[in-house]
Amino acid sequence: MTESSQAVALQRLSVPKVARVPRRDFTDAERSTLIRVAQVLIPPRPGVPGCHELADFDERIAAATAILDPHFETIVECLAELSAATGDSLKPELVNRHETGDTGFYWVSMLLSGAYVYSENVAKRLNYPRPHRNPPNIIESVEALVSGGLLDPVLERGPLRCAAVHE
Amino acid sequence: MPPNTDPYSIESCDVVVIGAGPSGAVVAHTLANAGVSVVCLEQGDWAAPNDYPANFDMWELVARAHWDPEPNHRNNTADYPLETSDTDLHPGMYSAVGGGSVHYGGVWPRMTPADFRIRSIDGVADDWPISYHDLEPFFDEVDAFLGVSGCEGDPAYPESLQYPQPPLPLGLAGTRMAQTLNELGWHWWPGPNAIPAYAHGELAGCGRWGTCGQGCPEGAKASFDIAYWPAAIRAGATLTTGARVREITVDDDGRTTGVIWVDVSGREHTLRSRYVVLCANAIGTPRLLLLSRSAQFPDGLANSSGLVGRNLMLHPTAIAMGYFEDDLETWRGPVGAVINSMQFYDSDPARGFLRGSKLEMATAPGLILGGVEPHRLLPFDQLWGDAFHDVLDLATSAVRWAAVIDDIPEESNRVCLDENLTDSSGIPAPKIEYRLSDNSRRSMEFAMDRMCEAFEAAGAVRVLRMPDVRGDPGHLLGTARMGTDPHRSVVDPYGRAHDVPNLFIADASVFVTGGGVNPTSSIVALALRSARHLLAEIDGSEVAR
Repeated sequence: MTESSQAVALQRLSVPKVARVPRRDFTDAERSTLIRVAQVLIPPRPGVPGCHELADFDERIAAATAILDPHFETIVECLAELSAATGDSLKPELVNRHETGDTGFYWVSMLLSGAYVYSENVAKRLNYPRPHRNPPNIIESVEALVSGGLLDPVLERGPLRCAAVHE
Repeated sequence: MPPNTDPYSIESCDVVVIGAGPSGAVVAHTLANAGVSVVCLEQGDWAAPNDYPANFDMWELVARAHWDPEPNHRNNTADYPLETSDTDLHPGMYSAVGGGSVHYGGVWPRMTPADFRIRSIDGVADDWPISYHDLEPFFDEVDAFLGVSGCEGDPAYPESLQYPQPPLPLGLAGTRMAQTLNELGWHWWPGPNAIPAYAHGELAGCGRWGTCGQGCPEGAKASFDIAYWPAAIRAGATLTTGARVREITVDDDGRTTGVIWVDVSGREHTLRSRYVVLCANAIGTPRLLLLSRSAQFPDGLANSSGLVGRNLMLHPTAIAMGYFEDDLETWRGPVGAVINSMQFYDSDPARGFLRGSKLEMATAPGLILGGVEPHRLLPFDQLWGDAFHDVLDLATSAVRWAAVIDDIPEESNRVCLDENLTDSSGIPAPKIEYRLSDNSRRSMEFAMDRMCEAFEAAGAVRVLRMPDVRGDPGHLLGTARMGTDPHRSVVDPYGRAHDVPNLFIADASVFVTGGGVNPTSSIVALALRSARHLLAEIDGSEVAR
């Protein structure tokens, strides 16, 4: 192989690299702001924990931050801006960012949503499967389609105009 | 080409194919099988099933952060940027072996017979110079190769349409919607999918992972890197990855002599060939033709008509999400099209617009992609705060209707070269100029109303309208259209450039009109037909239309 073709072989030109660990931990100030934002966006309700209350909150945030590494700078910039909003001023600030489609808010809220949805506690509560192999029984489904009569009303109405041949 | 030849050292071949997406794969496979020396140049490289988001914990975050359909947001090394300041829609595409099929849902409807004749039927745009029946054997041949799953007897198509594999199951959600459409008196039919029910060729049988649009981790979706390229390479085709073509070269007689391409280290290579076949999609192909200006072709190669880059169609997409209280198992795939409805496909003067759309229904797996993301369109308090928990509960049973809008071609919608933006090789980037017509807007609104009507009739407890979906669907059509008149078209009915006799275009650039269905089935049927025509010419045999 030439030097150039070797270079191609060693690169992934069309596939992103997904980080497994964050480039750095959030600072105490960033983490504090993140928790305050989480309390507004995903608060607890009776019998359901809020995002910041998750037993594996820090682990889930770390995993999500690693995946969202291409947007890390955007996230920490947004957290820095939000750090100034305290008490009652935080929610109006978040509402404004939501309604104006702020990119920083998008990725911060994505970070929290991901951490929450993929926590063990929430997964157990919702009982919602993650992607997995569950091949269908094709024979059974085709028999049901054919014998169940579901297609009969469609067939009874006959061909649509678009099926006609206009040579 | 001798085995184990370093692709970077190849200096000449019979045919160079530019782009390794679906059409490039079919052309290379067809020619190589006949013993033609063919080299395909692809600026990207391979993605493997174990690269896809479904393999990761928090797969939806991986999908959103790393597999965006828009190249400007994805920024892989192979991607080139798009200048999008003058477009209402932001095209999706994928620079890789397999091209856009890496990202598509595998939805596999054909254009209908009427789609080739809308000038005759509706008095707009132009008729194609070929018909559905000209393409039918090529549709059938590709379907058989891929093991397409579907159900014969669809009243929206000629009776001759059959599929090599049985349809994928409707599931609880599909059955619910089918029953509803029966009650409404609307057409529906099980969706054809380039996802075999049973293992076929290089493809696994559908495992219903529900992540089709982000790549099938099991290799069951017919992305063309898996479905066609292994066979093409076994047949002798050479596929060179990391190869970005910057110019198609011509001689004094106006015939192409091959291409100049750039590798990832920036080094230029010259590849001589008897023929060039462009398969770089309806943005990449006009870009390359416009880049290949010369004294002989001052307005770009094959552009004496002035139509290279013009008549861009993007299939505007309207999406409605419906949420149900009962468990419809909407985490199951496939995600492309469980059922289709062609009820509103043809023009109806009473609707106030021309042409129509195919409606397709699928499940919407993922609590974030199917729940949180659509709710971002609502006011803050309907997604965040206490409402967040309700959104997650609803997202466990989320269904998606989408409408593929037939956008009638307009010359003002076009691809041109941007004066400032370049790709990582310093090559001018394409600029997209596309405005939604009033006709398209009315068609989208009508389709949206019908999809919401279907949801409400089916008992959805919440229905969301998503009129503007960035990067979706990524159907790029029409920028070097075919025809018999060199003043009003770029290529002839076989894809041969009117101005350059040994240059072919075999991607969706050649579409005269776009139809209102997902186009890949039609794209590859056209590519196969062009390849067969070229092969007959190379063999010196008779060409049968």
